[in-house]
Amino acid sequence: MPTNAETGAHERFCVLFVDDNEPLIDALESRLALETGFTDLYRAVPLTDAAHTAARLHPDIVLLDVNLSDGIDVFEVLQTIVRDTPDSRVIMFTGHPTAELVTRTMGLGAWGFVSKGVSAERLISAIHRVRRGEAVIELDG
Amino acid sequence: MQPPQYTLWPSTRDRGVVSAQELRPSSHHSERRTFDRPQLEQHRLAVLGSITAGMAHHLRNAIMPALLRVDALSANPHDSDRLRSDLSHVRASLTSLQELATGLRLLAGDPRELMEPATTRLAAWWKDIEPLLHAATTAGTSICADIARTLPQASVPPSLLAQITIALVVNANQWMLGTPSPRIHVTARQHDDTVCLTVRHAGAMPLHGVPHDTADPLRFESPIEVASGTRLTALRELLREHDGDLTMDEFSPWGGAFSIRLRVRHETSRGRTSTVRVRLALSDPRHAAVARMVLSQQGLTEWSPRGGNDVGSEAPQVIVCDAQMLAAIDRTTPPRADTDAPRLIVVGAPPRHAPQREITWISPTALGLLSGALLHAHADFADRRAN
Repeated sequence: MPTNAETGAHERFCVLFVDDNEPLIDALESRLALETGFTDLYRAVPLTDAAHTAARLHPDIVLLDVNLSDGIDVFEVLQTIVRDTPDSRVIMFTGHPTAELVTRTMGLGAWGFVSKGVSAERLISAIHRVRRGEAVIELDG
Repeated sequence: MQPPQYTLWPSTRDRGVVSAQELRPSSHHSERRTFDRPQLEQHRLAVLGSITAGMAHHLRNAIMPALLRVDALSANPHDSDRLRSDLSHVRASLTSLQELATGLRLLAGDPRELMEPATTRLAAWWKDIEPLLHAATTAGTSICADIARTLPQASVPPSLLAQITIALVVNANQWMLGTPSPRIHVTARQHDDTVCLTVRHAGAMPLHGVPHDTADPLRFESPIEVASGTRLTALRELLREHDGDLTMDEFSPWGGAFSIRLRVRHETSRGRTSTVRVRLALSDPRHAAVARMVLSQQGLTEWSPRGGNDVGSEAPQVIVCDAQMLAAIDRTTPPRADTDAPRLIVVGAPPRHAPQREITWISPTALGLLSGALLHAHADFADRRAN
């Protein structure tokens, strides 16, 4: 039986932000709160516990910044979430997208790759599409 | 006074002993400086590129939250018209900054790293580079463009076209120094199989002979000097790698003009391109998305059966599938000995009983290898057809 996400019907769902750019997360929360369904918005604090936070919350979507501070290996975080929380879908989020990053992260199990140069509408659409089971690469332009 | 330069002669190096008599003043230090200069210049440009790419990255991190805040504020139904108008202007300014950041990244990024397609949609491309052109010209220079959205795609990567166009505009800016009304007008027109991008400027005509020098393929041996045509011949060679060309008009009623001719990416009468056809049979949507990105980067075409007619010249030349799809693909694909047999690239681990045919296997965790495998398959297919 198709889920609500697959049929596109609106429902509450959970998004976990993993990013050290706090002004960006604040603004994302403020913007996404205007959209139907984006009711459970969380952020990983501290960032070093991101994978554990995902395992505890089981978010529908994890928005994972590629360049994390504190020497955190984002590929390790991604692999841990993919392995321990397979029902969560990870979207990589970066201001410096490269072909190597796309192939590497999606090969490791990310469902999406979104540039920080895209509009809020494209980011929101990417989140919905990934929830429906599409793999999404949203770049500049 | 310059300190003397010394050279260690090979005879002493062989013995591992250095005597004062064997250290002789070098007559090559000026050559050394000549040799170093281009390397230092390259290093300076590389540093500038890194800084610019970093700035673009930081700009985005600052602009995105600001745009999201403006979005959220604009959604409040109780706001006054005045506030809405103010927010709309703030949004326009932020959007311009965002386009500038995209343009900076396009210019500064390593083309091998950028996920750019092998083709350019000129109208969208212009939006990205226009802010850079304003930054590259003297304040007060008027820049306008006439580029129709309906133009076909040009067969050149966007970053390369940006590099060439910016270089031409910087050149034009030099020739416009002292001009009372500096202006640059960029137009794009299609002529049969080519799109011609013309950059007109209100500056003086270049030195006599420069248009000729620009067309000289051996001009790179001359030193790069202002308005000598040496840079232009290098740009021209870059374009020629993509079947394009660059010319300078000998005379223009405006002032000077450059013309960039680009090959149109062809669509056949059946709506398919004339490039290599690649069939994707990947059940994991993530792998399929990555494969589509790589096809776009290499200017290859995704093949799909139309009305079940997948035979003859319309058949795919390369198939990218996963291990689950391999058995089905193997049953319906001609053997390798057949000239028309497509090359097979399989994402996954080889099974114990793999089909008796040549297959390139790629691990799902090493999808980056797909790019090289496609290039190799393409070349191999072309070789077999030629023989």
